[in-house]
Amino acid sequence: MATNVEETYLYSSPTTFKVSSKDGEIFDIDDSFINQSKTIKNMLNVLDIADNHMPIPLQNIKGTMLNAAIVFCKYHKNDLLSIPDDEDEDDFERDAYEPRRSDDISEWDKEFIKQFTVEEGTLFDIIMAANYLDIKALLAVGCKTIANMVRGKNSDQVRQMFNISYDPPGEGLNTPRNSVTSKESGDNQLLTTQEKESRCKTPSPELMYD
Amino acid sequence: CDISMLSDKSLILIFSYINHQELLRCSLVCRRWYQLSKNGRLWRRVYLRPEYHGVHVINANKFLSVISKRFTLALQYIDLPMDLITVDILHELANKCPNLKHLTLDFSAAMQLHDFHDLNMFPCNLKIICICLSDVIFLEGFMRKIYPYLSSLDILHIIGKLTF
Repeated sequence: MATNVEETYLYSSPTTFKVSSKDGEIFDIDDSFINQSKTIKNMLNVLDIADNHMPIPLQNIKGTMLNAAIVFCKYHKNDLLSIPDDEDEDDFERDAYEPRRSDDISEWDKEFIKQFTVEEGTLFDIIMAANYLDIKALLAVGCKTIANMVRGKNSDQVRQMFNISYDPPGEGLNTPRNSVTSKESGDNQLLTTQEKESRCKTPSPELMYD
Repeated sequence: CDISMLSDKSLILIFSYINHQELLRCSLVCRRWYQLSKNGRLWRRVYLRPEYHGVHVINANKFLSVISKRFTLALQYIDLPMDLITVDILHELANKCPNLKHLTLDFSAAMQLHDFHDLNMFPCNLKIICICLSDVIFLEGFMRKIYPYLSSLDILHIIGKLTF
């Protein structure tokens, strides 16, 4: 009896929708995706789509990324959706004693994220897709992966790794330029442009915490 | 597509996963990263006890300038190891960080105390203070000094052995 009830429930509930990517690919999405993508959830609430055969256009996302996001959500469909909404809340007691960590990416997620690389730029594509779709878990995996790449590198190596051109943060900074204190303080905000530049070109272990 | 295409929000999220030493290093990468590295969200909680995954501060004077430049209004939680619990640092926190609500003072490794004779300011909007006691020194004098500043406190958390 019990199985029957369950079956009826299972068969009556699935709601699938269609979405189309930037490059015109069409995908079916189910609850696993809708529940994890806040953007889609909001869209469905607002649009009140009766005809679920018309694909919802997602103009910002390439088919390959959309497909990957769907795979990710399918795998994570049973995860508790307990990732805190944002850091903005005043709840300062929440894990107040422990720094945020990025060494806690699961094995499956590690394998998943390996298909995206910095060289091809796909790692940034998937982060942008996660950001647009507002899939917290996927965004976290992508950002943690980049954080892990940055760790232990100096600014020169970071620029090299991500192909960032150096853009001297001199003008436009409303920081005091007191040449007397800059020698003492060592806080990079007090440096002049030239000093900064020279520091950026050499490994810079002289930041305040060192 | 490259990293510059990421939104501010995504970059700040990336920065939230690296420690403050690395964040300061990243602030030298380019102008945009420098600006984003100052975002208040990144400076709400500061961990300075190496044995609890915190950053090890070697130069306390440089650290003072970071309190006034980066922590400021953002700071809500900080833990300080024994060697950073000094009159200067406590004064600076009291002056520059009015939103500090949760303070951990870890004296557990202390063999002797800094001199707190001149202490005449202390963060005064605290909701929680956690004090880790040392086995070998008494904190009575220090506690007497800070007692007048604790009127907003909800929780006083003391870890360690009280010896009388």
